[in-house]
Amino acid sequence: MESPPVNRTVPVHLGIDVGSVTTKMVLLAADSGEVLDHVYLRTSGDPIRSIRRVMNRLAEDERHFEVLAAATTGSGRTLAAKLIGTDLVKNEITTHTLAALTIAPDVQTIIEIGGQDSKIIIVRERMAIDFNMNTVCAAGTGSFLDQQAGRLGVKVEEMGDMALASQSPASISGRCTVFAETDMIHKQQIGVGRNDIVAGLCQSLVRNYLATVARGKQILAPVVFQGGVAANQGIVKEFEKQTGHPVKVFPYYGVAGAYGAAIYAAKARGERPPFQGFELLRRDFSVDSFTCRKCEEECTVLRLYREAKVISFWNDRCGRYSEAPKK
Amino acid sequence: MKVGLPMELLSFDWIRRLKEDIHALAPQVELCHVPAATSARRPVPLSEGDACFPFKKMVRTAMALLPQVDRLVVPRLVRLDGHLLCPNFRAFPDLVALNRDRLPGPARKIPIIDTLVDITDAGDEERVRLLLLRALLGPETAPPAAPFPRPQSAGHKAAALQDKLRGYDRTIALIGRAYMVGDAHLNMGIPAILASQGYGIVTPQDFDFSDLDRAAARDDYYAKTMYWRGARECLGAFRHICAEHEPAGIIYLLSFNCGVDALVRIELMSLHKKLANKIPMMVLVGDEHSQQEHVVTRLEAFLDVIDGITTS
Repeated sequence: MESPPVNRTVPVHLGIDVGSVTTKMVLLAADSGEVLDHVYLRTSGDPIRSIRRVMNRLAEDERHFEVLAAATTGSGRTLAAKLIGTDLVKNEITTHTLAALTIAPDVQTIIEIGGQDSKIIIVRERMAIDFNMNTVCAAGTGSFLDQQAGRLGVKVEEMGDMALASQSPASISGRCTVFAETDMIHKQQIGVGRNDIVAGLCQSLVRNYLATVARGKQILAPVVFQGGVAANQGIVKEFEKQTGHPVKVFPYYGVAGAYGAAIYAAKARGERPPFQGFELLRRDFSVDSFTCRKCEEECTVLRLYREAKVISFWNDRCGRYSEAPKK
Repeated sequence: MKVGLPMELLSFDWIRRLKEDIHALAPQVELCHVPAATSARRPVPLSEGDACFPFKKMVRTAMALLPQVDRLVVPRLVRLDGHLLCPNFRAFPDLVALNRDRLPGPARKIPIIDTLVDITDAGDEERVRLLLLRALLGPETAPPAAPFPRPQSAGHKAAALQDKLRGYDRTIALIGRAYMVGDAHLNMGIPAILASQGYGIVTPQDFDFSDLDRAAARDDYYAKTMYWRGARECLGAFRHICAEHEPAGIIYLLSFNCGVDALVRIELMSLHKKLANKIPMMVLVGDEHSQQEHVVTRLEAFLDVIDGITTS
């Protein structure tokens, strides 16, 4: 492990989005708001490792960054915040909205499809007024596409072009992955081409999204599509076809949550705790959990260790551990 | 005599008044609502029926109470205030009895009091009350001299709500069935989270049912009247709270999209669209959130929408 740089001379705002499938980072110049760096990598079930990789990248950069403020978002935002020492923790709906509004100030609808989450955010007059997220069903998300790509023996990155090449998309159920797989196997068995199956998958994913996530919310242009799945041109075209609106995919679509978090950090006022992200490169951190049996809630309490010493608890609804005075 | 009465049933005003009545008439009865700490982890009964989680939780509570009591009161709730309850409540005593009969040991002998509760007016209340008291205390029990406890007056409820909201500048209407709104396990801690963020909570249970019933009657434009009590309570509360309390946001909390609640969901969304004042509204379905973090994320985002945090 390398030591962190001594002279960090470029003041920056940092946003980190720890998702279930990928971890994203965006670094904004404090003076101009320009994106100086961004990272998109697989979380691979180990958020500490993925955040450490992000920190390593920052530390190795010759521009010597000085992090003025950092914010975290995504399902791993609380852990990430504890690891880097920030009090700026924001949900992904708000950070995605901040990102979209910065890039497209006139946006009225934000579609976001990530690894396991999908969202719709309705914006009017530069303000989020409504939103919805998928729940237990991940049928219309990136991991669904990943899974189906694996089944078809293609790379997920190729799916967009394959879908666009199809002349006759197959009819595939998008209601759930189990049904979709059944349909796909059936189509393969009867000889339907892979391009048509992939195009059918794109159709079904968009249909599923509109039915279960958008749920009748009024989709108005400009529509901005963010999240890793926005890389798939087959899905983009299908959204355009099914909504009747042009769908814009801007640069940084894949790291939009982290971008929004960095904007949130830049907007934050007041004194911030010192950035501790580089500690990750010097010391050993780990996390584990236990089930508290003090009441019927049976919370899964999370515990963060530094050098084998517990430094933080969270996820206990009553605060028995997280709000206990430090010994 | 120890008598079990599952805590979930206490969300019904009538059951709370029944409890008050039993306290007054039979001080020898010790009512237990929550299983003792040793059985806090409630065993999953052999059969819970095909029902929502709140109902299953109620069955589990009843089963966990059984070994600790001499009798278990699980009334067969059919109708309250002249409106029908979810049909699962009708089957509740049968399901508890079915599971009790399969228990090992003495708990299988515990009597279950399953008096039919079908109440439209005060006369019904007195009749049901006497049946239940006789089942509990013996068939010779004389009709009580004092009347059955009346519901809290609308004025009393209004004062209690005013007290509850004191110190809060903003409120959120948390609309849902009484057992969802009142049970921290079922509502996933939503009231506590909102309170921690500085929001006072207004719920249907803060109002007299007759007021909500009248408000709901304005939407009785179906081929049939909306006859489910819980649905009337939610519809009426939406109208009443929006008109009288100017909440900063509205959350409709349901356990899952059963037929009635799915209909209410559509109705509330439709009413929301017609509101002149565009109050943010969110629907949360308990069954769709296996982790509390999912709920917290949505609540945070919802409060950001209310705060207009994304406005640049």
